[in-house]
Amino acid sequence: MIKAQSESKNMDRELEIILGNLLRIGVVVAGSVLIIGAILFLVRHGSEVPSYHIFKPDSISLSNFQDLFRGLVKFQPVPIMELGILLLIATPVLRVLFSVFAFVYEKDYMYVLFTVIVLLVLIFSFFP
Amino acid sequence: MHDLNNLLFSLFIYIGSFFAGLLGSLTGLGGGIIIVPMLTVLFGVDIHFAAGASLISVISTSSGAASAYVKEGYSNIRIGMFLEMATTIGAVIGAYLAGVFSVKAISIIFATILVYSAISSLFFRKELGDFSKENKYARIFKLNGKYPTPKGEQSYSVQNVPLGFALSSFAGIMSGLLGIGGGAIKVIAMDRIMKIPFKVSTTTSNFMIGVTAAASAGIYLKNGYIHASLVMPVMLGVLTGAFLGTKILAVASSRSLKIVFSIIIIIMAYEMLKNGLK
Repeated sequence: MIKAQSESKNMDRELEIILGNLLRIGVVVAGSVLIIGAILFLVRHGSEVPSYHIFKPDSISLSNFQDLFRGLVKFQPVPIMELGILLLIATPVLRVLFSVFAFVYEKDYMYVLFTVIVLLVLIFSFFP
Repeated sequence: MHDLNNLLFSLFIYIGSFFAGLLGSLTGLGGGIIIVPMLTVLFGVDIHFAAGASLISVISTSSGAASAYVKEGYSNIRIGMFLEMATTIGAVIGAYLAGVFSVKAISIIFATILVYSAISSLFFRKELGDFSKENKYARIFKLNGKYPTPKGEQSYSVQNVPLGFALSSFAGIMSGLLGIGGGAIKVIAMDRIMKIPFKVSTTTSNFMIGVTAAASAGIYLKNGYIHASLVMPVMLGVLTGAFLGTKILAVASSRSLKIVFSIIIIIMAYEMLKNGLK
């Protein structure tokens, strides 16, 4: 028979609902920014012909925050779309961060450790 | 297809991505497994950029669908977090490998993963009736749970935890290498190896793939493989498709989900192999 873990399971449910809503808000915000950038992009560059089979890896500013910021200030479409993408990537990272606090609150220290490990791996992937 | 202007290119990719998102959401694959072949085979996009766009779409599917899945009460956050340790470390390794492997090698690996997914899905698709056998690791790591069924709450115990964990790290490597959510492998690991009920494994996998893809996305960003004007129609298409998918999930049966899953996978495997062996 399976041992009941009903108390922690009820907490899990609340935690999951909060996290689920958090993620949805993140996606809505990121998606809205992306759509604004997309409209600007298609209005200004809609008739241009792209060449996606011969991309140059250095052709984007996503890895350069100064360029990104300058482009945002000038209201350029590509940097706005890039901001939307960065916000989107941030949503699961935030989810993991909030899970750390949630497991601390539940006093489930094994899962605090597990979640911190996941968070450290994520941080490592963005800052080598 | 290379002469399309930005408007038409975005529109066609949006439509394709919409259906990818719909199916990705319904099967727990995250859409990426269909996005990459679509972009490379149909639109001639370099596989690295296709994988980059796919990764971002995978994150949007996962995060966007999470709240809907949570309300249904299927997903298990501890199983998700436990296996994410394996998948994120795998994803970082896989994303580094993506910068090293040739396009041909990646295409062949992709096709192999697709073929394996299809075969295993077609020939071992028995829904398991007995989830009640207690597993030592499942108890230690608090992985057991309950999920709603038409007959009331059903308890389940997770089986073969070490093997499931190992397979999840492999899923992570494939996610980073191929730009997929790794959901196909994770569903196999969770559904077949760990014997988690299908709707629990599907929705928990959906929860996990966003975190896994974010780990890969960090490396892809640094490699310059995330291209905004390509990501834009892919992400918006997948997101709207996935949103519709979550509306359907609760009424679709496990069996019909798996049949749809298998047919799509077989078509994509054929196209990727043809492309990879060219």
